[in-house]
Amino acid sequence: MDWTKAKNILIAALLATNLLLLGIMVYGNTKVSAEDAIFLKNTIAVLEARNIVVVAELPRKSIRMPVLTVEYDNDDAELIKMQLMSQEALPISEMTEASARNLAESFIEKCGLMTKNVRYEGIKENKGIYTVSYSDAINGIAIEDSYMNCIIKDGKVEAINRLWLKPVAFGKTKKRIIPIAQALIKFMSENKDNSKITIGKIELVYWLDSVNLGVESLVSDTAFPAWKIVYNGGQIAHINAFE
Amino acid sequence: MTRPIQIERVKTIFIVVLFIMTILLLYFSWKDSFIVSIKIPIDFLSQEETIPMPLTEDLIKPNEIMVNFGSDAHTIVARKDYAYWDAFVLSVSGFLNRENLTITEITKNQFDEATGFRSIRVKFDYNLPFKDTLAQLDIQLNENNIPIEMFTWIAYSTAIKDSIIIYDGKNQKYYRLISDYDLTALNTIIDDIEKNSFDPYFPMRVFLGLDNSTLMPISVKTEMKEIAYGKEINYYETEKIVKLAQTFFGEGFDFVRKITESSGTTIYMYGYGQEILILNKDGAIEYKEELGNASYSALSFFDSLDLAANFIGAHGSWESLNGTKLTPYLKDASPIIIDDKSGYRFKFGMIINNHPLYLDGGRETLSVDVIGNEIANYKRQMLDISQNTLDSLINEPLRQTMDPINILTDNHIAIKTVLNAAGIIVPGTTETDFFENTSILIDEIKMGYVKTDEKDGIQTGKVYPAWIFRVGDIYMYFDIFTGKLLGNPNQGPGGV
Repeated sequence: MDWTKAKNILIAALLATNLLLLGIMVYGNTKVSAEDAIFLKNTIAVLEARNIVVVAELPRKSIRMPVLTVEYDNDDAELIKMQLMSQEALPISEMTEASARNLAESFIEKCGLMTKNVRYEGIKENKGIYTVSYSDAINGIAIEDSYMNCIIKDGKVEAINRLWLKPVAFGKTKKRIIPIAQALIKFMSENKDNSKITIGKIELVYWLDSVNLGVESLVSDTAFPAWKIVYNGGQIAHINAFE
Repeated sequence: MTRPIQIERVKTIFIVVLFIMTILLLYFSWKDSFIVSIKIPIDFLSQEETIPMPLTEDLIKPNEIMVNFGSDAHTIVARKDYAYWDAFVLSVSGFLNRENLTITEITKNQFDEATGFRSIRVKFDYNLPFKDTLAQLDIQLNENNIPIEMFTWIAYSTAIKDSIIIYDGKNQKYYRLISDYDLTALNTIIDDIEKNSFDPYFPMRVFLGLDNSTLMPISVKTEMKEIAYGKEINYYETEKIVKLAQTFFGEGFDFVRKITESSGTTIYMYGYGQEILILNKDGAIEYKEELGNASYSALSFFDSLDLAANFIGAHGSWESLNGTKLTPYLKDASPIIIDDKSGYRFKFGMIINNHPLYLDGGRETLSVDVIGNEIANYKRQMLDISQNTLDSLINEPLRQTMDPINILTDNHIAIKTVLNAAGIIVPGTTETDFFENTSILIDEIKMGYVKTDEKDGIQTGKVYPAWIFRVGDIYMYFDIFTGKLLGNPNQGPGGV
């Protein structure tokens, strides 16, 4: 037997197999099939017939996701109180949105609350009072109902309002999320009165369904992938992204 | 080393690397595909394994065997002497197997009159389907036309030596069965019990002059003592909790929502609450499942019982999770209806050292709701008692218990208060009125262990020997030596 030739054939076969498997993996995690695209197009047509208009950009990726274990992160009230008392106020004349954001982030850092999951959302000013908002996200996916708002008045942080979910661990296995078309159909079925709806934004989030939970004082929970649908200028619906 | 040999070596290493890569790629591309979106229960996957379970005939034991020696002297057969039940079944088997069996309905008065003589009454706290139970006990019936649907009591009286008497608690009917079978063996059982030492019981009317035939013991000694127990599962035993939870949710466990409360309670939830498992801080476990849309067909009593027994065996086992072996028995069985589908609620009790264990406050050691082929609800609060402790109880010296008549005297006001809280008004204006009107309501007095949440306001971690007084569905527990009211009374058959 010519071992040299046999080895060459084996190497070629294994290389081809590996490339094929790599291709399947990459394609499998990102594919949007032609059928999915047609299904989505038809779904949008059905939605319009049911008085639901989609103006949002539609995520097309079909991916696999794990669940996410989160802990309710209690802040250190004493430390925050101490930091609030030990601030030096910025002159009012120097207050801008940028300086307000800097103040907020410096304060959050000092309180030990700044993590890689803190995501800047925006700032609002009303009669000299700035509210700097942050959301919680992991790998770019928002964790719903987790927020931190910094209130700045007279050149210093006046208060910090916070409900924070600390991501602890992903589930061991992943499951494919439902396509956006399927989520929209579920959303449509919940719109019983056929009222006019304009969907402005759709995104994939981690979400804790607290409806009918009937439990109090939680330590930890499991967040599931969900499609977050923002409609009619601010109303929100969550559709569980697992079958 | 020559160059071609070096190249060959590199090729070999390259092949090995490529092969390992192939395996890894196969694993990563398929591993999630194996995680099915529907859950597969572990017990289904491992159905080949044998789950240790009690036999049905061991679960179905009488709740009480009462023997009347004539002239008001009675006893209640201790559980350690339940071999008498086996002897009773043997005679009944021969009796029912006769071809000339006749059945006539009798009145309650006739039943009471017959059992007022030297007799044995075997009592279950639930109704058993008559024919199915006989089949379960391997008793052949030659007569096909049997009008008896259920049986709750079965009795023999020396006043009618050719007969067995049966009470159907569901339909509240009494039957006299007559055949030519010789029932002398049942007389022998009575004689045998009488010859050996027994705890004397008398109808309460003998002590109090009241119209109450409930049997009350007098001057009873017991080897019972306080027993320390632990919880079978603690909230911090994560590995044990996960292992137990996996038996409910199977391979889809990684997609089950887990919620931890600050109280220590852990909740597992599948879907939108179609299946919920709650592991309480006090060690109690509850599992609830929405009934599926699958076609429903009602199961018989014993098929339902088998399903419940299998479910317990596969989800926590019939022992404590730490391996404590107590003796289980069927304490209560009742028909239930959920979502217009009928089934059974089975409550299983545990025997410690020949005495039943009760949980106060209406809780159960094991309770399973079976609807068709599905389990709708499962509650479990198994105690963990060390085997050494259980073994040591056998050699405990006998101690004199407080007589129930004295407990009644000391506690009739407390009993009245419990009854009032449950909506049973005890009439009267004087102390004597209250005593008599409370005493006349007592339906049952028996001995057992009780687990209370606390004693004197302190969490004890012990079960206590108790006299248990029952009025209707209300159970009250009194320290067997001091007569002090223990724990919270039960509403419903909470003794387990």
